[in-house]
Amino acid sequence: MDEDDERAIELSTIAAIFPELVIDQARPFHATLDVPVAPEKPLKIYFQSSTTSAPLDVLTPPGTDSSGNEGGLKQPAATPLAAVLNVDVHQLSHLPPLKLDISLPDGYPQQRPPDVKVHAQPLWLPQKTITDIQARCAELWKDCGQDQVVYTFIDYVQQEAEKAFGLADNPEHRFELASDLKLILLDHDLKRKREQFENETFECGICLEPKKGKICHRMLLCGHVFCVACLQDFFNNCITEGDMDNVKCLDPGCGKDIVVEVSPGKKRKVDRTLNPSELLQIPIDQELVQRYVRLKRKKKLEADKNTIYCPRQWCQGAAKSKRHPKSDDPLHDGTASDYESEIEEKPTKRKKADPEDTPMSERLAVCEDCNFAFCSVCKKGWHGELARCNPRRQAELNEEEKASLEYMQRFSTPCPTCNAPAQKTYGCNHMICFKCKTHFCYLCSAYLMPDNPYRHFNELKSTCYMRLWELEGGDGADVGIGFAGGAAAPWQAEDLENDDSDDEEEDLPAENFGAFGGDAPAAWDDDTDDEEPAPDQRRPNRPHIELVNFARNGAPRLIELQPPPRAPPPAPNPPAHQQRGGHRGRGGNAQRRAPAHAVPALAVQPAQLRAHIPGNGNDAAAAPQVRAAPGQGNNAEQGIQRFIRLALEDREDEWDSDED
Amino acid sequence: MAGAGQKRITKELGELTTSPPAGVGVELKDDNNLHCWKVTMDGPSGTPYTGGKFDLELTLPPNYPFKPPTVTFKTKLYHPNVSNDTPPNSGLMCLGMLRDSEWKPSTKMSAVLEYIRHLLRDANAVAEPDPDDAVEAKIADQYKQDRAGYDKEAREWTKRYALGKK
Repeated sequence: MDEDDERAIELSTIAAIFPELVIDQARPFHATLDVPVAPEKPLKIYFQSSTTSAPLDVLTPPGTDSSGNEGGLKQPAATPLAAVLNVDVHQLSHLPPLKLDISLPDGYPQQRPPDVKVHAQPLWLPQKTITDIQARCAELWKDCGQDQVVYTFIDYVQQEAEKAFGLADNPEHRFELASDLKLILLDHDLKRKREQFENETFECGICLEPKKGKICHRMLLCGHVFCVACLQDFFNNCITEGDMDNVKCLDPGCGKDIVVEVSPGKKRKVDRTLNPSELLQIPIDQELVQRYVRLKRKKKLEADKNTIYCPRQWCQGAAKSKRHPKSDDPLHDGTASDYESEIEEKPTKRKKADPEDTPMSERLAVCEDCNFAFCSVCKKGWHGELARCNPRRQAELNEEEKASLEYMQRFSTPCPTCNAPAQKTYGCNHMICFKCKTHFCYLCSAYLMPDNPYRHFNELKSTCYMRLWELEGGDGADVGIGFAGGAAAPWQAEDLENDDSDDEEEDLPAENFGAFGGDAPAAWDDDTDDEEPAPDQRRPNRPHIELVNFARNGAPRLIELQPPPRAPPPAPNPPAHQQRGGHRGRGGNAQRRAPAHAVPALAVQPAQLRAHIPGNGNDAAAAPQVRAAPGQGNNAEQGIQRFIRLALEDREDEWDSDED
Repeated sequence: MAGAGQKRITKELGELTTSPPAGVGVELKDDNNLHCWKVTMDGPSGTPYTGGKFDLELTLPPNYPFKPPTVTFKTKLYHPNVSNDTPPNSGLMCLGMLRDSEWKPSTKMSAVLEYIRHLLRDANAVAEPDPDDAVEAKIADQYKQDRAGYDKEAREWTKRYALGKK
């Protein structure tokens, strides 16, 4: 390249002004320059949706001989309706640069204008505009008297770029682009903005130091800028201390005056706390952001009066709800801001509503923590949409149902685990749930430890101290009829949804006990072992002794004795299966072991039993229940009686087994 | 964090000592402790506090600026927003902007001091908008209902406590 050539001098001058000018070493007098396009006013672009995208040239119909810088974009006046509905509007302040390809031919500048080509990569600028710009170069060359025109031209392009080439000037025609350009343009815009931000310097309002944009964060909501270190310090501190409300912009006046009118006369401050995704952007530790999301959500749940909590005592998690969905993503708080106003209004509306008005289809609630499915109205395990709640609305019940419900409320105790009601027909207050085998106290529904259920009744602190035998005769008006009677109680004949007859632990017919015990021997055995009450609760004056294999017949026998001075009654000889049933509380012994077939009169109450036992124990033959076991004489029976009497007086040594 | 806080305090203190707001002087109470400032404030003219020199103590918490500073009047003062309780509560100021929940870390001390001085000029600025801020309810009531009596009392106190050390 000839250094003295006018063109070479011009190009090097331009290069001094625009350092980014690239002079092509291979081709003489040829240079390229990227002119950034950053309109002063952001350019509004309507992106067509991909389905209605039209080729770009449709938007620039030929035949408009605009002169000069008149915006070259002409569109058909009537935009198709579909296009109107499907456009996506964006305001961009940075657009991809225009590449100017300038070549200075021989004879420039006197005879020939510079040869310029304008490229837009990607092709976002209408072809018409590009042609106009190129044509303008020759005009400028003529205007300046056919002299060096390169700088003038570049300056012209820059000015046009600032005005966005007049693309937004025509109010009747929007600047539309095909959708495939959208991502590229948006991405470019974002990158440029970020670059610009990073190179700017800001004074952080907290440390009061000037900081480069690179280590600063611009608040997404309000645009205030702080340095990352200070934001991290402050937000980390807030989240650790649980002060969620302060996780927002730190500017003194920011957001103070913004209130939203929720309803007439009722104003509310807008939640200006940061979005978790913005915290991650700053960046704040992921663990802390998770904590932030968790605590924020908890706060919202607690503030919402309609939140339903899990009825399980050990869980008490919130039920899944659409309003406060529990997100699987721990970094997403899952609440759209649209819900905010709803929260404010709904409780007032719904507070008055009877929760029992909830339609059946909406009663199912599932705990978000333990996944327990329960009914939001009756708080019991989910009973399905077809079964009604229990207890139900009073109005829904008929007289019979009301009566049975009332009866259950009065005379049954629910299992603390599964809530199945149990009615005690006889015995002590140590209960084992027939459904889930939980040990519990009949009086207070407290859990009892299976290894020592009686501690509950023996501890001074306990509210049930010394109350093991309270309600010994059973709970309710009609339980005294004995073991077999419970099932026949009139209220149980009702066909209740709960099938209460099954729920009653104690009212199984006596015959069932053998079978029942056989079903779950382990449980029963435990029970039998534990059954021994504390000595201080052993009822005096009612001693009984089980004699196993004492006599030759090998059948276990039980002899119930009346205290002295009354003569001991002769022992009945109970059937073997009733012997097994005898584990259910000592209080039941008198009844249960009195065989109904042998002594019908003895079936009811201990008092009655006593009344029937003859005072004179020696008059064995007179008592119907004293029947000799097969192969056993009266003498043997009397010998045993005597031994027992002696034993009770601590004089068993006097007894001689050979005395019969 | 402490480092950043110290730096900010140094910077703020530097600005306040080289170009203090009108009628306000700031210095360290103890040169080794950046967190305790001694502030002197002239009673603004045209108020019952005119001519008085009021000493204030400004304590910056260790995690300043994330937590608000506390401001105490060391000179007794008749004002609805300044407690005239017995020590150690005397001179305590309760200002909305210094409350934990309201405090914004980007509030500078110069803004706090200017706000206090503004209060001396116009007690109404506080007595009116936020009754919570009125530590001395009686004085606040008097300020609103018996302005002359209030002026007289305040002048009296200024004479008694704030003029002596001239």
